[in-house]
Amino acid sequence: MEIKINHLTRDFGRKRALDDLTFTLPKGVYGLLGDNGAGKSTLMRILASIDHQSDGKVRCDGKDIFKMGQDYRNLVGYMPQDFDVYPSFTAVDFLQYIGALKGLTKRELADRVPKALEFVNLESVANKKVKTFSGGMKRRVGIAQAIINDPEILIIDEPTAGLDPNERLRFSNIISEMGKDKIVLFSTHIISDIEAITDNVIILNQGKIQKQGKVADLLFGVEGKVFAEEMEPENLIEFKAQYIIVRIRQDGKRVMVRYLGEKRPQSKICEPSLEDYYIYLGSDMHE
Amino acid sequence: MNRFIYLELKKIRNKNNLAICVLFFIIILVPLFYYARVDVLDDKGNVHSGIGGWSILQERTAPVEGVMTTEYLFKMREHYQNSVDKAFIEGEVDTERNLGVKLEFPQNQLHWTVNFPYHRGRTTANNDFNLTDEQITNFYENWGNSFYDHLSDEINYFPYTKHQNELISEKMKSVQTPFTFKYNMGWQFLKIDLSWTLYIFFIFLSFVLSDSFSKDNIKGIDQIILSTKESRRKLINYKVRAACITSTFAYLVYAGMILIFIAIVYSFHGWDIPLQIGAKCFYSLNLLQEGIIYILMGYFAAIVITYCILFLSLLLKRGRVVLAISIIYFCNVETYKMGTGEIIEKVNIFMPQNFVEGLLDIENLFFVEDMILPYVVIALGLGLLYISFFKIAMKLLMKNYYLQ
Repeated sequence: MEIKINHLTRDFGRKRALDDLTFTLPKGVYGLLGDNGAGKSTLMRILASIDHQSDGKVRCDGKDIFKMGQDYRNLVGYMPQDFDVYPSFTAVDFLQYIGALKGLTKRELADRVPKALEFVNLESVANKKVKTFSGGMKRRVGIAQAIINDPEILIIDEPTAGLDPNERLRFSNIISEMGKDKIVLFSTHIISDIEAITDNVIILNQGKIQKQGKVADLLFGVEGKVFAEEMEPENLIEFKAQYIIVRIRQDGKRVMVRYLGEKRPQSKICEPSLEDYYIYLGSDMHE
Repeated sequence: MNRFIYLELKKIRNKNNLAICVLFFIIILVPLFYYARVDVLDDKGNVHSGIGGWSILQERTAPVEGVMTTEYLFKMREHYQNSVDKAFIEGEVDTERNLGVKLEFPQNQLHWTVNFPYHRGRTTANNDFNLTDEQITNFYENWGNSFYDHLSDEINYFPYTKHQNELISEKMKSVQTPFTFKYNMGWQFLKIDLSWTLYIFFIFLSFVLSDSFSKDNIKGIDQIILSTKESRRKLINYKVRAACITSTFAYLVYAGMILIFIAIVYSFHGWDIPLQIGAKCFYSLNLLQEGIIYILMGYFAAIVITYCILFLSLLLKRGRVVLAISIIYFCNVETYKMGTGEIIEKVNIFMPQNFVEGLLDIENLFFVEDMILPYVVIALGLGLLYISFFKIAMKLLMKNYYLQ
């Protein structure tokens, strides 16, 4: 199975949210990275067939997804970035409701709802009202509903937002494993999550694909350009004017600065990360 | 029951809607109590006011109940001449009450019926019984013959042709006689109470159902729902079924409340007397059968309104907008209904709110060649047409429903 996106464009009035995107998603896990307003959620909504493109085509195994209609939606599991649940619903009610809409039979629901709750570690609060859940628990319910129909295409917007560190780690591993036999597309603001989950990344910027490829290939572009140096905090202002700062870490009375640029006498060369590359992409160095 | 429908019902059944439900049923009781106020006389001529007056009226009607044979009518005329009511009816005693409520007399409907051939229903203020022997003896013949003239010269909003008048007149002549007269105020007020409160019930339905398809209801949930396989195909059916179950349950409570109120205040005495007592109609039905038709038509109207609210909710996707439109519409139609005039009457026949008005009356008949159709048939046809339209329109809307 593969999804082919051809010249996909989405306009909202005069604003172009997606601008002539073309790429292919075979089975695997893909991390979608970009600033706010880059078009990540719009792209995901179109792939989930809840929004319509202004131009271009999205095909699943050669067929237009909007013409496939419910046959396509039967393949999809989708979790939006922001959602709430009906106040009177328990976690079980919500999963049964969405499961029924996904066409699951009574027997399938009886089998899959407990499994999905166990999967997201919510079986102990299965019959509690979702409105009493924390933000992280609600996201776990969201993930449970997305996977309840065992979808072949899983689209999850910010899956790890609001999760505690243990859950985040667990989900990262689970999503990573799912890529063996599914197409999994997830977006995140947490760059380290992408590195932890997948080696395929798509970077969007102002509705266009800025870069797409294997993380290792992308990092090659910043090889030998990432350094770290310990310095006095008062030197930081002058330093910032000359170099692109990736991160500043307080280290006692001194600061440890990770930066992009040239080697300095006191600096040490670093192994580049996706975060370094992302900063590099948005900088003058890349241009 | 389908699990999804159960869950849809669970969504509707929340604390807010429960509070709205209680509030609306209290509001509905207000006009019921208001129109139940009455002034009546006891056997000694003393005036009694308030809703308890109906039981006095029922007691006082018992001696004048009976099959309306010629002998009975003579007896009733004599009874009237000797009754304490005569002086009040004929204006010898001032009958105007402080709050504008006029005296209700036990023989009102009997007198209205026997006077009809001679006054053709115009006597309401002085509803006496001063007919001649000949008029009483020929009552049924005169009654049957009076409708042609009545329909010809009465202000009629759906004017009939001469031929149609003749057809109706023939039907009236073939009505089964003699009539039976009994106290029957419960049945009269069943129609009145339904007519005066049905729009409040419809506004209640708008409160409960206007959010059904609204995207502003629960943040982001529509995104999840629309991405599912059955979102565009079965969701409509599920929601419509859940909404209809809710409307059915609410209507049962609403109609039950009216029936209990009527049973307590007016009683359902007189269920077996013919429609012709107090109404111009040629159908051989009794008041119980007519009452059932009105209650069922109220239910049918509620289902039509349920479809209409769901359609608007899907079309506008804003629960509060749907609610505002519904309130303005129902209140306007209600105000409009109070007026009279040809245009008002002609427009009103299309309104589901009107589906409990004059369902069998001869002034509301429709013709297909020589076939006579009462308004109840027209209302059923219109309602089914509306439901079909809303169903098709919702399916089309949902098929092409995207978030932006």
